[in-house]
Amino acid sequence: MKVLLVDDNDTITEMMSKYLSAKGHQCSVANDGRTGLALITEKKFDVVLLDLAMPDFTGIDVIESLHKSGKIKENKIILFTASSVTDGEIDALIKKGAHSCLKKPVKLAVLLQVIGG
Amino acid sequence: MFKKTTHTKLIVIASLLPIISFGTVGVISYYEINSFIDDENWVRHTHQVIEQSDAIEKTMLDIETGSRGYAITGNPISLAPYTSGISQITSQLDSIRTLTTDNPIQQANIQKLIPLVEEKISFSNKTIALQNNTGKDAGVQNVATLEGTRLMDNIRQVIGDMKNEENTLLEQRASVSQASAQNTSNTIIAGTAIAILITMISTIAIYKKMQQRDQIEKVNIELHFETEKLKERDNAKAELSAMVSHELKTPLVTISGYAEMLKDEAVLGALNKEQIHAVDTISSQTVKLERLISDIMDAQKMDLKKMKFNKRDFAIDDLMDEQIQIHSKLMDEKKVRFTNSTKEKLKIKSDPDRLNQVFANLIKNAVDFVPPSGGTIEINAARKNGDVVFYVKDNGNGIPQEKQDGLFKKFYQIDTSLKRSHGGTGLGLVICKGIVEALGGTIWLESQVGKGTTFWFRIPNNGSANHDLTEV
Repeated sequence: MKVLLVDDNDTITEMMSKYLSAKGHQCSVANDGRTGLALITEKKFDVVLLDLAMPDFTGIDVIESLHKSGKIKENKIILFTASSVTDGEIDALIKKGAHSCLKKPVKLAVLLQVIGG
Repeated sequence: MFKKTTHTKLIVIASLLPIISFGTVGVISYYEINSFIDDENWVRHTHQVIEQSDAIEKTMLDIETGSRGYAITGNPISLAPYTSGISQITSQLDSIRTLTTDNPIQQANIQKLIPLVEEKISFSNKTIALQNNTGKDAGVQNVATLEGTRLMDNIRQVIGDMKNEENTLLEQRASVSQASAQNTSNTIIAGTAIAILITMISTIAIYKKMQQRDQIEKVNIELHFETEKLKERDNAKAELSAMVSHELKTPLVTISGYAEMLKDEAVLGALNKEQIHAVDTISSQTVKLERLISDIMDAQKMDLKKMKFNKRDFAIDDLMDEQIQIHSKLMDEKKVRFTNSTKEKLKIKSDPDRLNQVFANLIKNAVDFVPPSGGTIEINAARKNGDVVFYVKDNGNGIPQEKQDGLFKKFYQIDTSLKRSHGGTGLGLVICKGIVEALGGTIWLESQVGKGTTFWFRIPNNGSANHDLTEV
């Protein structure tokens, strides 16, 4: 599986890409929202794990941009968040085309299950 | 606190009173002055009657003078006063009769006067006729009979009566008029004084009320500012705790992730037994830390009454079955016999997610307190008077009576020495109470030392929420 990890915390992306690579997935990493959006637009990924609370250009901004350009359904986007976003906001993002939402911290086994493949 | 309407009412009344009192003075003065004018008219009328009486007397004298002069001189020029008198007398008599229509005494006088006037005129006519027909001496002789003088005296007598009558009336009317003038000025002076007094009292009352109102307004503004400040502080607190919770959870992602990876031989290789124990401890402590952060967030929301509720229809027996599924792994680990004794099939409108949260906290507590072997936990739901009553029953140590009251208080733990082994956050029951009450219910417990504890909570169907259910 081609997986893109978008999170401003590089220890999280490092740990996850290590784990997912060991489990046979092909991981790309973006440590800010704009880079993430650029990668999603350029390349094709099977799964995008998108952190919502990022400085400057947030995960919500990424979803809004993809929703506007109509490319949101081309990717399986899994939102990844701690408690800073309300359930209402998450529902709105899923309505706009995000696939699902994982709450931090998440068990790696659960993450693996959600990515599938 | 004063009501604003009472203020407004008082100020309106206080403003109206001076207007009413000055108005009353004005109306009374108007009537008094009108009657005063009336009196004046009467005085003028009396003078008119007297003037008219004088005029009649003068006319009669003219008639006499004319006829007498003609009798003496035989010259028709001497007749001039007689002729003008005859032409005026009728209208003069009519005029005085009209002026005194409403006075029966004067009408009677006029009735007396008219025959005298007629007699006097016919005497003068006789004098003139004698002069014309029989000659000068005859006319003079007629005058010399003094009949004319007698008649004239009689006329004067009646006219004098009439004038006396009018003068008496005039005096009466003048005194009435004076009394009425006195009344008017008294009324105006007293009325004005009272009105000024009322105005002063009203002004003072209004001033005092205004001052009071200003004071209240000032206090209101201060209260408003205080409320705003408190709201801001609450919001800042909520923001801070949201941020702290987010910041605390982020490193947990990596810590728990690496702990999980270490236990996975396929990722980072095999560990020895002690290393596995170390990693397990990291994992379990991480889970506790995460739960603590979540509990703090929930307790914070409870404080701010911002916890969200999502009520819907659901089957209670499904909720109860779910508890068995959710907690079966934990119960197996702790070797606890966990049963659901619910018999009824119940439907209710409430928030199942929040009820799950209540059960999770109560079951977790029960697990912490049951004995290491032979522990049992029973859950149940039953209908009671349209509500649903749930319980979570354990066979643990029980809670002494004196410790029960503090149970629903923040960070309360039954025994500080138990902290290490039980490791609760001290917020679980606070959250349970908050949720149950927000759903319109109540929570309580029954416990006997050495026998066990039962936590009860009662949830109304479609329970009226005490919390504001609007979005955060």
